[in-house]
Amino acid sequence: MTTEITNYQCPACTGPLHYSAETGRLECDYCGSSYTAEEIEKRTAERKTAAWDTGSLQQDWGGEAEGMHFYTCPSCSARMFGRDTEGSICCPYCGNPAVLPEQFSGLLRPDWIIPFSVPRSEAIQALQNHYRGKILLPSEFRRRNHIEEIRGIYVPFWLYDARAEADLSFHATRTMTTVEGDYEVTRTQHFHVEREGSLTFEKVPVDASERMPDDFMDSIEPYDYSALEPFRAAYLPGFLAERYDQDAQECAERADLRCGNSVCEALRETVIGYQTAAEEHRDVRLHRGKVSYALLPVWILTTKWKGRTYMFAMNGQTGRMAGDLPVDRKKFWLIFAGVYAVTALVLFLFLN
Amino acid sequence: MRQRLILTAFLCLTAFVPVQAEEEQPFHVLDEAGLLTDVEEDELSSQAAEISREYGCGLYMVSVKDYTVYAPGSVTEAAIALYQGYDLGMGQERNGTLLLLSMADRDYAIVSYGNAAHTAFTDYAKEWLADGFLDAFGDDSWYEGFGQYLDGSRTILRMAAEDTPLEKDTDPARLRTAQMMRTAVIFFVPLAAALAVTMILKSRMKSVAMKREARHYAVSGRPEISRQTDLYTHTTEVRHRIERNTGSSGGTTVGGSGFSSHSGKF
Repeated sequence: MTTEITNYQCPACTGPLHYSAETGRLECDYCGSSYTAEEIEKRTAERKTAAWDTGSLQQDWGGEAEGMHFYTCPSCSARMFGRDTEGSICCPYCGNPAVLPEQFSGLLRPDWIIPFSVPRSEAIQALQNHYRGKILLPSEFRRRNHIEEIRGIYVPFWLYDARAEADLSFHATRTMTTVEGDYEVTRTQHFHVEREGSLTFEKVPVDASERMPDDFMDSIEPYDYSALEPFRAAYLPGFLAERYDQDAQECAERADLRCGNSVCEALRETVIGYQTAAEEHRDVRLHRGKVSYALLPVWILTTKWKGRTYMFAMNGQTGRMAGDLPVDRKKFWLIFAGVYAVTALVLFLFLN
Repeated sequence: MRQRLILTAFLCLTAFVPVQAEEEQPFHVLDEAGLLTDVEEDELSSQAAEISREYGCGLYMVSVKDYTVYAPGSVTEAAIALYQGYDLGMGQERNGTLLLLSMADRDYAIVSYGNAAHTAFTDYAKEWLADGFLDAFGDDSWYEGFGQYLDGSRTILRMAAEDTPLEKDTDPARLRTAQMMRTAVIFFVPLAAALAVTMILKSRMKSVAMKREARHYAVSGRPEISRQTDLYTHTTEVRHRIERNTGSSGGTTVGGSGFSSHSGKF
């Protein structure tokens, strides 16, 4: 015998709901919202049926499976696949040259691929451009730092289609100040503002690789989907493609968050004509749609300086670069002291 | 002959000085409300006499049960009536300042008379003086309050004797505060500016961050609005009295009777 325990959550704040015998409604202790049992059951049922649609994902590679290889790095456990490659294969993550080929089977076939359109030479140049205008970058880093390695990887992404609906309410104000006799009078008009609306999203990308830092992948977005093509193994030679190690349901939380935040932000932008608008309540409902699987091109560049490895990621389609740079503490404090001294001198002369 | 002239001049001088110094004053402290002990009264009286002599401006303290006995109008009029009635003041101009406390409704008035008193006890100085003793009188600490009146008056008279009568612009406490503000501005504003500049430069070294939105992937840039309500609920009103800087020119406002005054409640 199985028992299903359902903990009802407040649609407004996700706090636990409890039944109040006095009002005959389910009430939230955290935000004070209350709902009828029918409302909550309807919403819970909607949530249960609103799982992401992964039905279109398939393992059938057809004739393309021939010549495809699956590799595991014994050093960092990265799992990759690629077409017949010439020469040795190095792990794109840890650089280990002894990757082990395995039997290629049981892998989901990507739906889409964006081929690399930025060549290796441009990636190197882009890194130099990335250093430009960074006053706090140590001069030694600029001069002596050499690219240790540059690797092109097709990174697995889940692309989520969704429609997000939100119901927001705000406390908005308009303030006007006038002078009446000896008094300055400030009149504030208060408004209760409500907005309900939706936003449809197509192919919100979330990287499906546990090894690839999410913040790096977010930072090199967006990709131009006009270049998105149905997957063809012909684009793989010369590059390795990482096997996804987080499934679509696992990564969905990030897509949910981004879609939810976006619809709320978009609705908030329609609250105009007020000086302040403080959000009082939000209820976000996601209509989860189709999930597709894509390989997107990323150049990974690593450099070493003072024993520390610096990683840079570059969008292999648009050339957008991301990577944190070291700060020269000496320069930092010199600039700090310079700005302090000049400002203090100007103020001293002005005030005296 | 020469010696005789010198002696005559000396006698004239010594004869004049005691007249000035020993100018008969009806009182310096008149405690009709019975707020002070005899010892306290004597002590305050001797202090007031000493300051009065030093600066040639009489200082007087009077407490009464009800000022309306002396003048039916205001507490200021009562103070003026007392000043004139007792022929207070020093020198030909009858320079002096009187503090009157009336216990019936806890009123007080400070009145000054004579050019020297007006020069020293400016409108600002009277307010400053009152600020000094009001807390003590409010706590029924009469001796302490009168003591503060005398200390304050000494400061006011000393500053006038140094040709810097107490005004907003010459108030040592205000000058100290202004100096501290200037020092704080010179210290903290550059600190904030240096911090802002270096933090902006440092933030440019970071280009990696998680994304929290997905607007780029929205089919349409604008949301489809299904419900829009803008409901006016109420208006709130806050009124602030505008501080008019009327006393910016400083000085002393002298009434038709020749007295300048300041009054209030303690």
